[in-house]
Amino acid sequence: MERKLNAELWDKMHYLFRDFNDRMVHVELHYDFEIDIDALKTVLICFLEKAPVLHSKFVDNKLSTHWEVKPYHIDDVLSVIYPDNLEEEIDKFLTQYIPPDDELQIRVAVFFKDGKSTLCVVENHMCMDGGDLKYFMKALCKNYTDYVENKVSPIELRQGSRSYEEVYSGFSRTETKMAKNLYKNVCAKDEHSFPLTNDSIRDYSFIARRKIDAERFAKIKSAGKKHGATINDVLLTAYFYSLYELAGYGADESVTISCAIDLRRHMKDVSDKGITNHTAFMQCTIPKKGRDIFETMQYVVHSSNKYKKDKFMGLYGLPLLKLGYNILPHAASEEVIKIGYSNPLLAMSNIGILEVDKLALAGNEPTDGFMTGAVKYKPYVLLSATSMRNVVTLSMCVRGNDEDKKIVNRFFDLMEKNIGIIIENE
Amino acid sequence: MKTFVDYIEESCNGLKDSKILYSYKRMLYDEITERANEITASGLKDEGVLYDLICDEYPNLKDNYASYQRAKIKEIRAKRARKLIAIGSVMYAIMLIVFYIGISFATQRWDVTWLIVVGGYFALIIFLLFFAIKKLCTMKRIFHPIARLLTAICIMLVTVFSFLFCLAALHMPHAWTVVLMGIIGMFIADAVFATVTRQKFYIINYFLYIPSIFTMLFVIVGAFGLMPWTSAWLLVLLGLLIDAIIMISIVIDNSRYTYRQEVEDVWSEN
Repeated sequence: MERKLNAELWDKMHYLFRDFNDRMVHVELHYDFEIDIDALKTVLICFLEKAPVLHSKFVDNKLSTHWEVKPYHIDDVLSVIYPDNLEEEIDKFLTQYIPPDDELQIRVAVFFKDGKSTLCVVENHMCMDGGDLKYFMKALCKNYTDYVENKVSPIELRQGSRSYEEVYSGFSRTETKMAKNLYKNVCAKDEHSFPLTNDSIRDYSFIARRKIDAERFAKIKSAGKKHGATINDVLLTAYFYSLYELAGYGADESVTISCAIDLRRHMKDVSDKGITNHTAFMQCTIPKKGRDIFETMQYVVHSSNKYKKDKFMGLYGLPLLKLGYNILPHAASEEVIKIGYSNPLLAMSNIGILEVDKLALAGNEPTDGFMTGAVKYKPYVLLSATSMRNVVTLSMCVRGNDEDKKIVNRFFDLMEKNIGIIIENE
Repeated sequence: MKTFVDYIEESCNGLKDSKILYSYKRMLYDEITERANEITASGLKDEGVLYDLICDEYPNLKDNYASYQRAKIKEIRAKRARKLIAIGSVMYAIMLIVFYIGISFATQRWDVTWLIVVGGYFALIIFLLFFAIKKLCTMKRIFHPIARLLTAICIMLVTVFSFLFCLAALHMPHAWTVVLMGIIGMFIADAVFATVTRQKFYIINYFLYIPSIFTMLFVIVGAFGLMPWTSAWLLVLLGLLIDAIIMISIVIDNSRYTYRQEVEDVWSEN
């Protein structure tokens, strides 16, 4: 019998984002040993069975939407590749696009070269966000290890509701009612954009990366502490300052960057929740460039603290979206939501630490790796940051051309320069 | 290596043997076998993992049996009830005709006795619709509008019979007002249904129905001369006033749950 799954609010929202990005989330992990493919296949099958949304097809019949669970074969999920040019092959794999009506919403690849392995995962953001993909990867590694070392069946993956309403599960009744009354249209209206070239059908997807070594990362931490800023604030400051320089915004112009926030912060226990999306955006606005980067940092800290004090951080607008999707047929609700929604032109997502001990496969910790968000379509950009072994990887996925690649790399140069200024005296 | 049969048998150990238990075990076995085939087709080769995965998907077999047993007994009873209702309805229809003819011949009041047939058949239809409404209420929300429609039909049947009775048997001069009362009844029943079954936006029904009900009351009261037409129209206003009161009370109640952000909007000047 055909199994159907509910299309949750965030599934529909990410589906709506099809005009702004390719909705793929990417992971790349490098290991100094050869992964046991049969064991990995076993773990993946178990995980796909536990999270059926990953082998489902998204159906939009204009009136409503749902997921249809589809049969699959593990060989269609996992590819084993012996590349000549590792980097090129990895990029080719990571920049692939999985359409929502595909019968599989995840693709995994293992690249073998010189006795080493690279594990890459691409999945549809409609199924889960970076937070849950990080959990998924950790669970995958733990289950793989237990299976290979102790023959324990790899079935330890969280299952449960994928509903956005789970964000209210940690609230009291009154708080829930309050949160469900937050009918505020959160709109990121800022015309400042990243100075990329115009759209062209020759554009291709690429992932630009830049690493900040452990030494500089430690200095970022201590410099941030000195100025009452988090690592996120410091990176955001460098992002702002570099943008002013790269795009040539007027020094008195106010600029907004939307920062992804994990709504799981509102939940007390996520152990009984299914893998899904629980990410919203907060708008970090600075009134002007500031006389120097430290003044910019003050603005950033002030702006982000404003959100941190808010009990219902990130929950504004959810009831409005729910109402929009509830009262109208799907096609009409999308049109209505598009009127009120404005996708942020500049965004940042700090995915956080990728713990090597939790990403170890049978005792082999990853030597390097990163995670990044969707490939954005011009003029939208998203800067992703992850850290592993105290090395920060900044990445930007863009659908652009060689010129755009140069612009993004120039932006990373500026980021490095500005981070250098912040940590100068550390 | 344990088989799925072993798992089912071991899990159900201690349960009293019966036909229902057998059908439960058979259902489980069929489901599990189908699921196992599905997973194997995906490429899973390790039988131990397959066994654990399936067992994880089918936990608490013993506990689930209680609800299965309840549902099964309910199903058997419902089957029996359906049979009884079908036979009873036919018997009732025949008896009603016999009764009508008997009474009519005995009293020679053919001008009124036809009401027995109309009323009797209406009662039968309402009785049957009641079961349909009950069933629809247990189904998905998408079927609730049908239940609401059937409830309205039931009330309309009662109204039509009452109207015919008032007209044919009582010769009431204002018998037509019964139709208005029936519509009021339909509105009230629908509002109650929407509230009890927690329909989305049920409050909108209140806003529409209350002024309509009071408008009809205005006509009824005026027709019976209980109030002069010149002042009875105030009932329409009263309906609107009640709507306004409900609306204000909802706004007041909601305002208790309004969260005021306690942080300053630092950059509002921009």
